Amino acid sequence: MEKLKLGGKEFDNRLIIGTGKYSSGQQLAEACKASGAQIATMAVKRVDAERHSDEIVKPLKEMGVEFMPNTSGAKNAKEAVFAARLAREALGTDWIKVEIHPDVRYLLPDPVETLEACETLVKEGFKVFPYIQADPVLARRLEEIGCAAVMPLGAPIGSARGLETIAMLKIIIAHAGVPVVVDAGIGSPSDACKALELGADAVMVNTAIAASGDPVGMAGAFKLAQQAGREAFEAGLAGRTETARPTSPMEAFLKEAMK
Amino acid sequence: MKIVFNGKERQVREGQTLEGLCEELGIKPEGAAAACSGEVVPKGQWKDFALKDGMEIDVFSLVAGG
Repeated sequence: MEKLKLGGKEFDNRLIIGTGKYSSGQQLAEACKASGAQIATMAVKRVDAERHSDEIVKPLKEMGVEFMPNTSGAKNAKEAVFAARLAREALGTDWIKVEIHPDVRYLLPDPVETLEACETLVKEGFKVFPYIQADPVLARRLEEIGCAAVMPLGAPIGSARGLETIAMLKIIIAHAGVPVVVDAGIGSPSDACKALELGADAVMVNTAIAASGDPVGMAGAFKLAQQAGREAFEAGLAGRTETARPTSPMEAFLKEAMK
Repeated sequence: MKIVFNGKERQVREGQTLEGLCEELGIKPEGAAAACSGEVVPKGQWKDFALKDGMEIDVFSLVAGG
């Protein structure tokens, strides 16, 4: 399997895992290890001085995981830029996943605010990874302004509905000059495998692992899926036809083959 | 004097610094970021960053998320 090149770095695995919804920091760390993921996302929030949450940064850092903080919770470009600056200060990374989804029902990303935030952040030296609708035109615009990758959705966040946007994902993948990470909606290892078979560079998964019956076991299944999907893409799929293509000799056996 | 800390009013002593406040609240600088009126205050400045009456201070940290 070829290495994933993202944000100027190389990785041996094509999963990016989200850190939400795990029952503990320990479970997250075990799932991360089982998945083989070398990149993880996390959010920035105001400190709750009364309630200390489980430490997530330290165990992942010890495993050498690359951090991709996100701007989740930002309702517009201004808030996203602020969140990105805070994340850089907190983690010392210039990676930022731009997520601006003011609509709480579907958490669909706002393309206008996203483009504006990305322009500002690229100028400030960030490696910008925008979460977007599977819109090939927007993907192109984001690439042109200098984003490090694009992260189109397969279906709404946490919905586990798979690659509902597959037709548009194919167009994005076919034309992108930056890595394409299919983000959101991936509900099963087969969805991840499919995205990578299509030629996506990586997939981002959170709920499908964290909310499964056995997150560590499911993380292992995703590890296999990402490898299968990517290796299938590199090998080159045989392609589809409308009619049969014989796999056995068609010459006469006892008498002339049926015509 | 009073400041607004993470959206809530909070009494702090005269001459208190951002670093002192974070120490008092058990907030470690590692993995945290602070802002004053929406502008990031780099960690290197926390020590000498004197809080003033009415200041809006927000301190953030990383939390689980996708």
